[in-house]
Amino acid sequence: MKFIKFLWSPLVAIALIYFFNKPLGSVPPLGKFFSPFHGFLQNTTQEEDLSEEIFLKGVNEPVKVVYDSNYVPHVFAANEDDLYFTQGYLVAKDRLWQMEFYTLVSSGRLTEVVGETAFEFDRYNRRLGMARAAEEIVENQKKDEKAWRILTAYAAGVNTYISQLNYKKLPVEYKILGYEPEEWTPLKTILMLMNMRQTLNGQSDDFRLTNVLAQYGMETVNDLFPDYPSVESPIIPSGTPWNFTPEKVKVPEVTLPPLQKELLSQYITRPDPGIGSNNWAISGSKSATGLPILANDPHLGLSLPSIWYQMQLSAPGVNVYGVALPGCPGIVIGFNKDVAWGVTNVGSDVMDFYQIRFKDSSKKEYWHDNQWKPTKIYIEEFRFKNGKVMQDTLVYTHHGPVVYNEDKKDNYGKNAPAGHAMKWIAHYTAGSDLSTFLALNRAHNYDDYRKALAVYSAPAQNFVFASNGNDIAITVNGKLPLKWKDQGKFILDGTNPEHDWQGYIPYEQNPTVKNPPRGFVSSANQFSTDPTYPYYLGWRFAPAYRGRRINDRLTHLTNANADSLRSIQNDNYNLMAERILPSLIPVLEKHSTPDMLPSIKLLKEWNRQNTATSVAATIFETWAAELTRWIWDDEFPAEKNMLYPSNDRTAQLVTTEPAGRWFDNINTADTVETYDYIVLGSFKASLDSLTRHHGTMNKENWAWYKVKNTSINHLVPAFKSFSRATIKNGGGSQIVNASTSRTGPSWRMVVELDKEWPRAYGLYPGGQSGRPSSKYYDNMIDDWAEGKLNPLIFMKTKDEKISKHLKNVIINPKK
Amino acid sequence: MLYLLIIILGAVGSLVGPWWVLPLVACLICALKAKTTRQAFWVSAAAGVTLWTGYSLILAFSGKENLVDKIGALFTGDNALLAHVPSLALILTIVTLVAGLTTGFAGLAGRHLRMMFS
Repeated sequence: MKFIKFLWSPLVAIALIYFFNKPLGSVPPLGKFFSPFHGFLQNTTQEEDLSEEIFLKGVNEPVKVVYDSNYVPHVFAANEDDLYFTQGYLVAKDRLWQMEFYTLVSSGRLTEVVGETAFEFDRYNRRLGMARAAEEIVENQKKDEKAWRILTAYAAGVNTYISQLNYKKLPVEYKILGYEPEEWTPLKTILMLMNMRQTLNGQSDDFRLTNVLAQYGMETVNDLFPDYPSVESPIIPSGTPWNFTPEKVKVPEVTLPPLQKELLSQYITRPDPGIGSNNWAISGSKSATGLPILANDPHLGLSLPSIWYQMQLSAPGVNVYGVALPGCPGIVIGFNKDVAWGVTNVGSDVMDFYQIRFKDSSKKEYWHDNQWKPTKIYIEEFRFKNGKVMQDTLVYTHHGPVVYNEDKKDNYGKNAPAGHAMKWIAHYTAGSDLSTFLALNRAHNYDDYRKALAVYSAPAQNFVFASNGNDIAITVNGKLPLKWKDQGKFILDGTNPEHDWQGYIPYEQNPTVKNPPRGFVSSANQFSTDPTYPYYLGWRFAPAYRGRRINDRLTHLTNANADSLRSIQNDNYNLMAERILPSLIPVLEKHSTPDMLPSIKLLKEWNRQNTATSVAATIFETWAAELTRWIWDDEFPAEKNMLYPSNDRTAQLVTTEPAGRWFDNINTADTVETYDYIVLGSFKASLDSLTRHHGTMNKENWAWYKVKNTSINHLVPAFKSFSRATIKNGGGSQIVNASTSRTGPSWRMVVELDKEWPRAYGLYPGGQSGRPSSKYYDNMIDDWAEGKLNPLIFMKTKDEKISKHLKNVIINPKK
Repeated sequence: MLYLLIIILGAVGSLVGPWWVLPLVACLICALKAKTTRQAFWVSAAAGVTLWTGYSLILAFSGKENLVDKIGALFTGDNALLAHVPSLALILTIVTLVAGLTTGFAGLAGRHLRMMFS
């Protein structure tokens, strides 16, 4: 009796502790999380947690790290092992949760940390086969002694940091989501790079364009989806000679598979128009110093923590400054004493789909080259946060994985047609992208640059280059498949071996130009070359507006300095408006009603700058999108998995073909809509929509930055309080200052080359620290929005005194 | 005395051990020192709440960094009612509940265990 009387309270106490010690659905364990000794409040005590002298096992000789006042580490090591070990250690210290998160995404393992909600997303990423390709790349990297040594030194540094963690010290995201970091490996570094391959090369229009072809025939496709735009300013200037004998590309007699009667039913998302980039370099003839200046701003999805991490890495044989990807050794975009380099995405067609004929529903064999060939079948296992396990069967042909076997509504991937195998450059496992960047870090001149680029595979990039030897260059670089004209513009025939990729363009024949007469090189994701280039790279690239505007400004540039290039990075001029408004405004004026007059007046008086506070920019951008829908959505409805013609073709139609049949809405059988009707109707609809969503037209409500709503979200979008919304900046998707709602310049850099020592400027929309409570978490965002750049401190020696100094840390070997 | 002892030993234990060291300490001390069950529960709960809210307030107002508002916002989400509650109040409420309940019942358990075996 006494026993029962006194036993209930220990049981209640134990039950309470148990209850508060485990997560409740998506709520973290309350006991751990709210204990001020262990939980999130401990994360506010870690800012300066590196003391002036630390001892680490794994370091061979003392390493000096100088932090400047922007919390950028300048690492000075006595050898390369220590250098990359320290890089891994420091990046992990500031960004561990983020770098591991990326690898969970590309390996399709998010369900393990966030649960079932991520299943379709994971399943899609597994089916893309990125983790399998990454494993093969790791095996290849093991054979490259130098790269492998750097990868393992970096991993050791990350793991040294992980080994110092306990629950109290875990980054707060681990505490909220309730899991712990795993050991870091070279595979995870490669998985991180896989993310970039997917972001930059992981989209396809093949499927939707095939539907257009099935519905409207080749004549319409050739008219509306041409292989080269009506207005372009290609990356390699027209007239650049091709000094090589091109490889033969065999064109098959039949270039299309039998088209299906029914439209292919999988919806395919458009490649994100916000994912692009700008880079350029001007030669000494255009600069005040007589030496080149280089600029780069890669446009990616904007996120917190930021995708980039600034650092200086110095050891015998290398002294480089720039931005690194968290999880990857070396500097990806940056400069050293002699050279500077940057990248933009090429966007050539490197993802194709093959219609597969399976022998039966077991999918064990498929027809190719007049015989049944065996598939490879993998069972993918997904572990959920709650312990549940699910399996998925993945079928591989020699082309690549069959991304979906059947059409399912909840399939996350909108890129991949059912029953079609994917051939994708991201599965290319030879070469070493990492080695390219490591070699650029050490480059002294143009020849070093060319050598560095030779081993690069994917995602193909426009590598811009400048040196203090007064050379500038740009190379469209990566493994570019050898294709017949229009190969992969539509779905390919998976039974016909002649439809397989025939190899790759030899590196020496990739489009490149050195010191062109015009005195500058540039890229903004537009067409790599004009149609004289002997190979087919793709039928659609980013619209030419950014590239044309950049080239126009660079053409007129003289006596330039870094600030001149900074001003071009922030150029808000709307070239699309310049092109189409003169045709559209007279139509509005002809039919205007009193309520339209104020907005028409604004458009007429607009200086065509997409500034943050412009109301005209809001009206134009909203209207341009609405007009496009009004013209095309009846013939090419998105819900039927069709594709709109390009921005260029639309502008051409609007400005030169007012009698075109495409203006008629085919869904209204008894009326024929005219050009004027579509222009006016879409304009009224835009004003209505703006009024509905943002209130009546005035400077406040319709300010462009509010309507554009550039937001920088945490990688877990549900963590809204870790995000920044409605950044006050200008720009737009076809603007050089390419800020959209979720994408934008993720790093801006300008480097003035110099015989003695370069001067560089840069920043990114975020901060060095990945800790949401840190003052370095988002401290660069406001300056970024205003278009400012920070001077980048590039130290000559480890003992150099710098003005904006925060602290020094000495890392000593631990015996 | 009991109150101070739990706070001091609980704090020391929490610096080195997991979060449930605090209720464990309350349980042991109450087994040895508490005179009544009522005292065991309420003094333990008060000590636990004092320690956790006190240290939480020190960290929240240390002026180093503010994570309270961001975490508060995560927990209130889009709930309009909770959105008006100051984050610190919300967090201290949870802290009080967790610390009060666990240390209170652990203290009581200590006293009860003592009575069971005496």
